[in-house]
This record gives sequence, structure tokens and C-alpha cells, in this order.
Amino acid sequence: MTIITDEGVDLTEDEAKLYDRQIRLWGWDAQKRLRGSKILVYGMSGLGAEVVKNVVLAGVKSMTVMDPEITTAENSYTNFFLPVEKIGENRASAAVNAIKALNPSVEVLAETDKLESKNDSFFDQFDAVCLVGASQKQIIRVNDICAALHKKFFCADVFGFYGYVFTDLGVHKYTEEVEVSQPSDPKKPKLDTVTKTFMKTRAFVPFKDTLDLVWTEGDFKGRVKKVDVTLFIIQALMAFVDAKGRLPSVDTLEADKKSLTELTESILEKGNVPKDKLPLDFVDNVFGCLMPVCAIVGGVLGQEIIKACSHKDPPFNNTFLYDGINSSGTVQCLKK
Amino acid sequence: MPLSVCLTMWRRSLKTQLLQYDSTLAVFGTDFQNRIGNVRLFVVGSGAIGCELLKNYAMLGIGSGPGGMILVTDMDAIEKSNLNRQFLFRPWDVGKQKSSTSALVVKSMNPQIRIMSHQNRVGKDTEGIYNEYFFSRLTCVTNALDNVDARKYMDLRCVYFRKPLLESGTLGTKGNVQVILPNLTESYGSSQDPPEKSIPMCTLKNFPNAIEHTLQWARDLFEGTFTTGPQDADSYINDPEFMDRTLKLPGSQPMDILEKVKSHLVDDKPSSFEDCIAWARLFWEELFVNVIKQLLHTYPADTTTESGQPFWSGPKRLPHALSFDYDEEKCQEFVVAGANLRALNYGFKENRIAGKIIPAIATTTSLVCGLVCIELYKLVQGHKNLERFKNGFINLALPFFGFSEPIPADVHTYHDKKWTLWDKFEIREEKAPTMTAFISLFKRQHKLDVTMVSYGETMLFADFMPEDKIRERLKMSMRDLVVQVADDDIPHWKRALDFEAAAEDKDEEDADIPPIRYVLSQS
Repeated sequence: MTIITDEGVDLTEDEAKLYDRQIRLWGWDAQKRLRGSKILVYGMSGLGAEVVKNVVLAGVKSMTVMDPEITTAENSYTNFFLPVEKIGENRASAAVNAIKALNPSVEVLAETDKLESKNDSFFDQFDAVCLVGASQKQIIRVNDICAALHKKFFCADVFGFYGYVFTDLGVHKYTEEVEVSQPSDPKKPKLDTVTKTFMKTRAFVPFKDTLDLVWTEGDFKGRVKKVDVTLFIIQALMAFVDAKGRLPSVDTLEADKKSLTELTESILEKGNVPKDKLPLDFVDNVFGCLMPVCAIVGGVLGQEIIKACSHKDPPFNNTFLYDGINSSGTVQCLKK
Repeated sequence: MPLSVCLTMWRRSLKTQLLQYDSTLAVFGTDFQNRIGNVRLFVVGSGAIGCELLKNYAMLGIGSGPGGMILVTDMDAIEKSNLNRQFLFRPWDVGKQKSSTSALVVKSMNPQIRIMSHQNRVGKDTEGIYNEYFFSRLTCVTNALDNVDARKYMDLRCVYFRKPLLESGTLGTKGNVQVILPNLTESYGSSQDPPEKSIPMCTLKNFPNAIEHTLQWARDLFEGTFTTGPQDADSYINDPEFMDRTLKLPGSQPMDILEKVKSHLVDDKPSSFEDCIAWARLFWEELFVNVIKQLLHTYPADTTTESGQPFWSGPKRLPHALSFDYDEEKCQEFVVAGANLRALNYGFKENRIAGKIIPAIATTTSLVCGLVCIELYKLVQGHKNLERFKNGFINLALPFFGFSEPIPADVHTYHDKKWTLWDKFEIREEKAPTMTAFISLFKRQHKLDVTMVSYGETMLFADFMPEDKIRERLKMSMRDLVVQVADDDIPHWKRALDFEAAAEDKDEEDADIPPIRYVLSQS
């Protein structure tokens, strides 16, 4: 029988029924902590929609969606909260009603400002902040703010068949249920397995500490053999977005492929990564926002936000990489 | 053209609605776009996986071309506890049909999607609807099921009609995707454990010695207590023929059934949830104390067999009666579960309990359905080599992603002919209308001596049958054998009958041969 503590927010009878299935999975305490959490998701792309859907369904206290952009035709077929009739409206405010309908017990709010215009105090009202498709400059800035305020920080993006999730949970405390063997009856020699709950702690580093790693120095020496090269693909794409202020586009296909190739070569060179580690034909597969890739990365990111807010189960530390062309998904622990 | 570019262009072309005039399409070619648009998908189930799949299909514009179509079927109505992961459904949809509701919602996400919904359960009863013609027009089947039986059934159907099947499932934070490709991979059923041998009744009742035995016992107990018992009580009241039918049963069965009916309707009929708890507590006492005590009274611990061996030895483990302990979780769970189940039988409101079932959650489902769509891309691209496809195994708790190439189908051989589970002998009715013709066709064309022919579970012909029976069967037509001997009807939509045969090869050895598809003449 589960012991119900006073932590978090109490659940109503109706909520208990709604969340019945997931309570069976992660327990009452975790659900109550989740129920008390306020989340900010910036970036209402296809990936943003997937994350918002997963977290709102799980039952948080509030979800603030933030996006300064206007809905385009392209958005309307990657973000299922934004059908064609929303084209021309702000991406955050146009999605609010559809998000609310997913789970009426969650408060859903929209922010239409630019990320740059928000100062430290804005982020203080949330328990977890998640940036989707932000520039590296903003990722570093908001990550620092969140670290100082002890907020859980996430950032993520997808580019064609590739995607990543980064997490900085500060010093994160969580409970983990582990099956242990113990003698159940002194008369019987057989061991019974029982589930015991342990309190654990895991420390994270900010995003900036994962950049500019030199793969022939210190801890990374030798690790370059095992590193998932998707990391360099993602870094090249983020550099592309920072430089051009937009995603690679099929309208400028050849030019964008060329820029990306150059950016990748310079990233490999700076990190002292052998050139043959990464075949450059990946540039064919970075175009467009593909729904299945959003669903995959959004599933991973959604679960990490749920883990972080419920303080249940070990979070990954600190970068998840997905490659849909070669079918791989790995977690890399990146830090200087 | 790279796939990600193709997909982006395709989705964009849908917006313009002028496929052939789009200049960008002229650059990239329309072949793949046409293929994605003309995909015909059968989505079996509209629960958690179904909702996510349909959303992805709608966003991708799969099946929204002139020849494309998505058909989703699910027999269930929406329940409140579905809402936390079956994200196409809203509180006000509770009670409506899952399939039609989800079709309507994804249609609003992308009005160009061509989607239809059915409320059918896939199975023997619906083979007239999901028949050969239906399957022949499909590109692929995507299962969105929640039980192994239905998965196995769809697997058999896809193998039979040689259609690709994308199979997926979740268990809490764990999920998997399996790609099943005609003529290439093994099927879903291939990697299942072999069916368990049935456990003897006395082992189940009195002498269990493995957890499988007690599990089976619990399942039977559940069936008898919460399903057939209440059904009989219902039939007693509503079915005028129930008494006649019951009294005709052999042995003590009529008495046993009627006593249970009396218990349900008179002796132990509860009038409140408290009554259900009391009943569950007494039921516990009966099962775990009284029955065991009775058994030990009949066969005390020191009983010996006629040959002098201890009775309670080997597979017969000495049981001991339990004493009910309120602090013991298992005792509590039994009473809570028993009480709730009984409350359900009698239509009371059940008490909320969080049991240890492992449920589906939104995040895992979302991820698994994304993986299904990645494999669907490859399928639509028309890849034929196995290395391009990936079965996936994931666990979001870690997170762990494992991918492996689908396992190729086992190769069987007879004479020098190789075949897999995807192969069948195809024989046309007009070439072999009778059993005699059927057998001689095998001899002539395949150099096989047929020793036995069966249809389903019925043996139609065997060389060890009495001679007069053999003579009679040989003369009969294959159609008549199915109708008269196997007692099956041949509905009008049926294009073919399925036979299995045993045969000997040139060396008079048993040959390992594929099943037979007997194509009926269309008159």
C-alpha cells in the first residue's frame, strides 16, 4: 500500500481516475509532485507540440507556452495544435485552447514575447524551463538563469532525421525503486525480491560546459573512438541556425548543404576529431521538420521533464542524441 | 532525392493542392510523393498507439493522395481513464466510439487525409469484411493493439495475404517495434514462445509445484468466479432453455452449476460494497485455509503410497494452510481485488485501488509510434533489403534505445525446393476438383506422395483410414469435403480454401512442405 505524504498538491477523485494508469506506474507521491509543477515550454514547433502534449497529459499544475512567431503553413503540418485556420496567428496564443482541451485540470498560458526580452525574474515563476529551437546564445543565457534560480533546465531540437535533448537539473534529488533480494523466511533458504525505495542525488553541468570540447585532451582522450557522431551533426546544425537565423531549407538546398559541410568541417577541426569519423552525406537528411522524429525526441524529453518534476527515477546526464537514418539513440555525458 | 527533402516537399505539395504544377516538385520528381499519397493503411486499434499513429499519419499526409486511404477499426468506446494518453479524446467524448472519434479529430488536423472508421473487432467473425480483396489493396497493416491474441491473429492474416505488418507495443516506459516484411522476415508469431503444454487438472487443483500452475489456477478461478458463474446466473433468469440444457450435462455438472447459480442469486448475493468485502474475506478463508486443511485431512503429511514411498514427495509438495494477516500486502490485495471484481459483477461502484499492473503512458507511446513511422517511410520508399529496416526496443526510464535488423524468415526445404512461412502451394480448383485429382496433382507436379490432408482441425484424408472410407473420400470434391466432413460453410466472399498436407518425398521420407492455398473457381 502506498503511503500518501503531504508533499505536492492533493489529487481530487476525478484526477485520481484520470491519472489512474500512470499512478500505477510512478505512484501517488510522484503524481502529486507533478501536479504541483509549473512548466515553461518555449518554441511551438512540431517538437514543442509533442513535449507540451506529453507533459500536459501527465497532469502538471500549469503549462506556459511561449513563442514570438506567427503560424505558417509549414507549422500547420508539424504542430497538431495549429491547424491551417490558425495561419497568421501567434504560435503560442493560437495553440492555447487546443492544449487546454487535452487536460482541463492544467492551467495553460501563452507568452508571445521574444526570449531575449525576458529577464531573470520571469523564469522564477516556473519549476522547469524547456527551450525548443532556441539559439545557443539564448540557451546559455537561460540555462545560467535557471541554474542560479535552481530551476530544472532542458533544451532540445530536431533537424530532419536528427534530434537532441540536453538537461541541466542542477543538483537533483530523486527516488528510485530497486528490486533487492532478501531472505523472506528464516526457515526457507530461498531469497525473495522486494522493491525498496532509495533516495539518490545526481549533479549536472550547464550547457556551455558541453561546448568546445577538445576530443584529444584530458577526460576525452580515447573517448573520441566511442562518441556518437550525431553530436557533431547537431553542433553543426546549431551553428548553422545561429549564423543564418533560420533552419536549413529545401528552397536553398544546395547552398545550405554547402554551408553545413563547411561548418561541420570546422567543428571537427576545432575539436580535434579525425575527419573520417563523420561522413558528410548526413547533410542530405537535415531538412524539414519530420513528425516521427518530433514524436521520438518529444517522447524522450517529455519523460525527462516528468522525471525531473516528480523527482522519481534516474534522469539521464546530460545529452540524448537521435539519428533516424541509422536508427540510433544514445546518451552522452558531456562536460569539460 | 534525400528522404527528408522528399517528405518536406510532399507535405508542402499537399498545401498547394496542385501537385503537377508545383515547380519544386518538377525538380524533385513526383514518384515518392505519389507513393506516400497513395498508401493504403489498415490501422488495427484506436487506443493509445492508434491515436498517436493517426496523428502522425495526418501530419505526414500519408494516404491523402487520390488512391490513398486509412482505415481504422476499434470496437471500444472511450473511457475516462483513457484520456491521459489517448490524446485525441476529450472529456466530452467519453462513451463515444474510439475509431470514429479519432478519425474525426485527425481529419480536423489535416482535412486532406482520407480516413474511414469501423467498429469491428478483427477475428473470424469479420473475415468477410477484411477479406482477400480488402487485403489485396492494402500497402501495409499497422497494429495498434493491446493484447497478444489479436496481434497473433493479425500476424497470421498478414502472412496469409503477404502484407507488410508494423507491430508495436508498450509496457510502462518500455516499448518495441517489429517490422514484418513479406518473403523476407520472420513473423510476429515466429519469435513467440511455444504454446505451453496444458497442465493436468489434479496438478492445478491439489498438487501445484511451479508458479505456472498457480497462475493457471488463479486464471481458472477468476473465470469461474467472475465470468462463467455470473453468466450462468444471468442465463438462469433470462434464458428459458438454460435449465433444459444444464440438466442434460453429464455427471455432477448440473448440480455444481445450479448450486453456483443459487449462491449468486440467493445465498451470497451482496447488497452493498461491505457485503463484497465480507464475501472476499470468506472466499480467502475457503481457498487458502479450508481447502488445504481438507486436503491434509485426506492425505496427512506422513501418508505413504502403496509402495511405501512418502505421498508428499517429488512433484507433490506438502501444502500448509495460511492464516489471514491484515498487514500482509498479498492478503489485502486479494480481498481488495476480489471485492472490487465482485462489485463489478453486481454493478456496484468499485473502490479505487492502485494495483501493480503496468500501464501505457503517453511518452512511451509517442516515441514508439514515431519509430513505427520511420519504418513506414522505408517501406513506402520500397526498400527490399533487410539491413535498411530496424526493429526497435526502448526504455525511457534509462533511456535506452536498441535497434536490430529484423530476423530473416526460417528456410525450409523439400527435395531441392526452399520455402519460408510466406510461401504456399497454390492449387486451382478446376485443376484438382476432387481429392483424387488433388493427390495426383501433387504426385505429378511436385513429386510428392500425399499421405494426409487436413482442413483446420479436421482430417479429410489419411492413408491409414479404413479402405472404404478412403474410397469414399477420394471420390468427393474438395468443396464437399469441407462442407460435409469438416462441417464448415464456404461464404460467397471466400476466394480460397486452406489445406495442410503431409507427404513423402522421392525417398519415401516425410517431406517438410508449405500449406496449400486452394483457389476456388468463381462461378
